[in-house]
Amino acid sequence: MIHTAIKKNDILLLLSVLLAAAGLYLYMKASAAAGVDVRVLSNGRLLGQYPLSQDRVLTITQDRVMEGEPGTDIEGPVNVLVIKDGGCFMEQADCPDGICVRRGRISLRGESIICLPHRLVIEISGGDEQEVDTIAR
Amino acid sequence: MRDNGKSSTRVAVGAMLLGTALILSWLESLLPFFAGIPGMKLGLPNLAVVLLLYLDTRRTAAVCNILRIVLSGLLFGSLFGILFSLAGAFFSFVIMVSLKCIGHFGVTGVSIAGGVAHNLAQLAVAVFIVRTPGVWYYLPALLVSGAVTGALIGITAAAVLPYGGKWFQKGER
Repeated sequence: MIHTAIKKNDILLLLSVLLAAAGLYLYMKASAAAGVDVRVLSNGRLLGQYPLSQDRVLTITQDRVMEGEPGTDIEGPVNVLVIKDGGCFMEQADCPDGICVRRGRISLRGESIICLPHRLVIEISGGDEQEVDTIAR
Repeated sequence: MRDNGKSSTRVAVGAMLLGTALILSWLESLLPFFAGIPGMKLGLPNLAVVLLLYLDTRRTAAVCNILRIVLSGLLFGSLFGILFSLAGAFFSFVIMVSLKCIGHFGVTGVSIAGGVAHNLAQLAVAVFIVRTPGVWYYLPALLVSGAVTGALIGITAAAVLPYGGKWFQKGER
């Protein structure tokens, strides 16, 4: 017994998922605002918070954040984050997939760059932590 | 367990579909489709799992699912990727089997639900790994990609299944 036909329920399922996604997207867009701070979280722990208004380069290891480009003395997982013109992007990373670098620039509240192999999250907040949590819920 | 013809037919079809899954994994590894969304893939290899679910037994489909993840992980990915993929594949498989049993959906619906379930589970694991709820921001994109690839896989499966059924009929004679 093989069900080859596309049933009405299949189409309803597809449409409802697409509708839900569109609704969520519009809700996020509507509540999006320019961010204020960049939060650096490693393993869920806040390593540092920096204003988007000040351009700088951050070198991030597993347990701390340093100003400037990475030196030659750094060992182990490292990500380099650039904060520039009110946004930020991952300039380089030694993770195996490089997805965080491909994510590109982010600047809106609630947006994030994620480096799963390094368990690192770069998150844009509105300066008020409470509000970020409601949006990201 | 249903008896679907000769065991040699089952082995051959299972192996061929596992091969298909690996080819699709390879194609997928060439396309960095979701720039910036961690661990996310189109999920094309799920075609093989869906086909086996309908042509053969649940057990065969489950074995093929695990094998294609481990093998494609070793060939094109990393150990981390394998563990990450297993979570999504497991949840997706449970959902697909349940929907198929309930019977209100065709192969396309089952495949769509599988694709969406896979992405939801992957995202949940990502949230767990980085311990930051902000990751849910990616939800809309992942819902759409899961549903659309699921639909494409379902339509393909619906077109292929009649031929697959014939292989098994021949095997019985």
